[in-house]
Amino acid sequence: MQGATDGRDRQRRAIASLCLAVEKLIAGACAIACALALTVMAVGIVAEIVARNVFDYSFLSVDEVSGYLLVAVIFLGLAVAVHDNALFRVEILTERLSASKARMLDWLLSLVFIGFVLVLDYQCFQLAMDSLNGSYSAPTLLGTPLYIPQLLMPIGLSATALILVLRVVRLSIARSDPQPEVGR
Amino acid sequence: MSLIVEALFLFGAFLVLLLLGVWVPLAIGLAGLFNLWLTSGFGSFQGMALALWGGTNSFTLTAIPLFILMAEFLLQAGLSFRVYRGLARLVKRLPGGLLQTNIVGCAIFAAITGSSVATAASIGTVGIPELLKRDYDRSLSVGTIAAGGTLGILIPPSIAMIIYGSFTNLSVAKLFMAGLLPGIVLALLFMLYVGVRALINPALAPSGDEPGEIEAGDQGVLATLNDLLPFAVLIGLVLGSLYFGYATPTESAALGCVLSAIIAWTWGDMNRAVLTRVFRRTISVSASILAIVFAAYIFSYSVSLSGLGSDVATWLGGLELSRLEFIILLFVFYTLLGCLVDSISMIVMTIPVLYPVLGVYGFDGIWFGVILVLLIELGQITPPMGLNLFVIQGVWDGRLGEIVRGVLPFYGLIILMILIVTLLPSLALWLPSHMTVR
Amino acid sequence: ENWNAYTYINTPVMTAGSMMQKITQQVTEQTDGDLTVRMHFGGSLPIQATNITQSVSRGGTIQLADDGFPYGNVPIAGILNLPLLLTSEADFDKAVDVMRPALEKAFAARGIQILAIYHYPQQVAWSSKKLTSLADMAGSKMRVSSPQQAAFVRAFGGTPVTIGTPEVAPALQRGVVDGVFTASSGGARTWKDLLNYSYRLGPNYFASFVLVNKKAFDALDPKLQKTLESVVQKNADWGTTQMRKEEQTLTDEMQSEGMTVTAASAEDTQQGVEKMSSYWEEWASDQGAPTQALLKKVRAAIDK
Ligand code: NA
Ligand code: NA
Repeated sequence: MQGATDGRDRQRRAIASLCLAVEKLIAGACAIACALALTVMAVGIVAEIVARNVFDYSFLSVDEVSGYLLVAVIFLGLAVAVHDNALFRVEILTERLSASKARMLDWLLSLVFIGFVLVLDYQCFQLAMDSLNGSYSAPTLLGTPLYIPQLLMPIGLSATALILVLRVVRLSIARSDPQPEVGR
Repeated sequence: MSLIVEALFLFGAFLVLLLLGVWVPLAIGLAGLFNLWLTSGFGSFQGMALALWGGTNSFTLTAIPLFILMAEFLLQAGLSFRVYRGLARLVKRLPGGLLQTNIVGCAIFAAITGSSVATAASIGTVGIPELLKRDYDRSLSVGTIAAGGTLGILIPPSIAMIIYGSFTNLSVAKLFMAGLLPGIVLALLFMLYVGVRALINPALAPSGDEPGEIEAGDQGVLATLNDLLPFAVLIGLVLGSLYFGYATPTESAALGCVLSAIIAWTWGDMNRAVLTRVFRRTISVSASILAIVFAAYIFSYSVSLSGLGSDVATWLGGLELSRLEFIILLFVFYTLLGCLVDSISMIVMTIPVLYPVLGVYGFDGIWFGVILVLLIELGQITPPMGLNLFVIQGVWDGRLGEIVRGVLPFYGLIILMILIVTLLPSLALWLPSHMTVR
Repeated sequence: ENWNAYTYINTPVMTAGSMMQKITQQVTEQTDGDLTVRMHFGGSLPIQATNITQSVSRGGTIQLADDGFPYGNVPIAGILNLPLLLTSEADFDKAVDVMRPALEKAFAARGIQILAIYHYPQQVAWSSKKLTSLADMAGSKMRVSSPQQAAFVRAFGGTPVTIGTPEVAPALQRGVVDGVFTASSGGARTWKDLLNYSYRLGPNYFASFVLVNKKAFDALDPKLQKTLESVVQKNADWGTTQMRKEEQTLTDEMQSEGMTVTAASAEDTQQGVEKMSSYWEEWASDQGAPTQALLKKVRAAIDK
């Protein structure tokens, strides 16, 4: 009897740590992409300042590209912020709950969050596809086909949804687990 | 549903979600989606993606992560300690000693970063341990940091002003200039208050007999210069590029980023691990602010599309309040809102509705930007959702009640500042109207 | 039916904004509320000016719109933007006549019907520094709003710079840019205190398109369709006329207040056309054969 329970516990804990590892991996990949985006943005804008003031030259694309990079930072960064538990929330209620009740609430709110993210994800993906099919482009020197930067929105939202799903799995396991450290 | 009922219902639902512990951007986004579905039907969801795209694909908003990145470089490379040490030598002879260092330190940091949390964190993490070691009055110690932190969004650059500008199409450069004089005056008010308190009761700020880290090492002018010079150069170049027309506000953020990275590498403790931490924290913090911004685009889209925004504006306009009554109404409203909502949400949820009313009451948009920032500063230091309070709780051992007691007098000073700017609008408007022509 | 209308203009104080407001009011009145249109001004919805085409195309929210920036979405419309190609109102009207079928086809492919095409007064060059001939543009930083304007500035030795509209005033004030392209009745109204020279050689007219979502339009009763079409056309004509009048009045007013206004010299115009004509062809060939053919027709129609 005891052995079977132990085996199931081990299995659950293995699934939980696998979830955690995948969450970390997704958030890490998104963070690297955001860090690159921020670096390119900062260096590009400084290059524009120097070029304009010293060489009387303007790239005419730096503001456009920076806008796209910001979209990457916002939507891929959302996955990072969700993973790092960095989103603001009021904790009056949560800090008064017992650990298991708090986990339960977290589980429930995460499910709502997944629903919300998926609604946006679907709409943003539809928009990118519409831009591709209608060949909409930016009215700029680069003439960027809009679906390319627009795809950053569904990509970031999908990563966020995936992280949330894995977290919900972990929280479900943790609910029946006496050791709470696998859940958050 | 009548307009007021609808607005109250929407707002009530939003507050309930917040109290339940729903993440702020999710609460705003859900309120937006719900309103959209209620007033315009599912068909209107299709337009939402274009609104999200239009709102987030913005050159102006790039300044937000860039200003945060800049502050993180300075904070993580240990440069806030050096500026604190340098300033302590300069201002510790003033009545109030290191308490004055807190305020001046916050003002200096405010001139580099656009965020009050970053300002409070940068000076607080260094200052609070030093103050506790020396038996400074506990509540005054945290009060100066929490209140000093609010200067971060009043003294340019300012994330709050960038967001206000991008929602109203006002010039961010002008908004920056408008905040400068009120910011300096507010810092002086804080210093005056601390000085008076310390003169009345010197025990609040005991002169440190036991030399700590700050007093260690070279006390000479050169050492002080070495601590402060990098910051002076940074502020000079970033604000200088802005004033003298070499860069737009967004561009100056990028310039500050690159310069602070260079300063961090040459003056600070920088290595790969620190660099990783800098970027990871920047991304987490920026994304949590920008998530609120993009959720707010859904909300503002729903409010504008349904006409709720313009209806509320018409209703407010029809009340025919006097200008002072209007300001008092706003004050009450923002104080209540500020308890539960963070500063960015306060701007993005209210401005699409309120901004059209300003015209009716004949208020200047730039001037109102300053009033708005002062109003949301109050929200930053009221519990339970007071971001500056969270920062202090992270670095100190006391209870929240003690922090709140310490903040209360400064709360009064910020209200006094709102009055001053209301009665003397030129304090805010003189500089933006006299920006130099090269 | 309940519709929403959107325009990139952010206030009814501007003539083009008041034109759209009149359209929505008159449609609602004249159809006795069978078709009510709610007006949304630029910036009140988080939809960028360059995305208006797509928001009309997708329907659902915006059914009617004034679109001043369709050039990334309907590239052939860019012919109207080519620097110094259309230098008189007569030229502009001829070009629109020639291009109309192609434009209608291009918009129809995106589920959009054109209700009216109107234009602003000519966009001319303004500067805080001396600008009384094209030669003065050399070494100037000019704020541009299209790649075509950028090509024009480069061709005469200036530096084209892109800056968002809200930052133009402080950028002029602090010398981030020296000048802009706009009409007296457009941006110059707001920025006139920061500008000292107006050289009235326009790179282009600013064209604007009143668009309707085809599906929503087809669902209307034919009588409503007629009413909508006639109200839009009437007001678009009113807008063009009104802005032409304003342009003269405002230019005179600015001149009396100290603005140095210089008319385009014949030599500059001729030199400009010569210099830019190779760019027109280059641009059209980048867009492909249909655009090249259309440009050829337009050039034939205006004899240039
Ligand atoms: Na600041
Ligand atoms: Na608060």
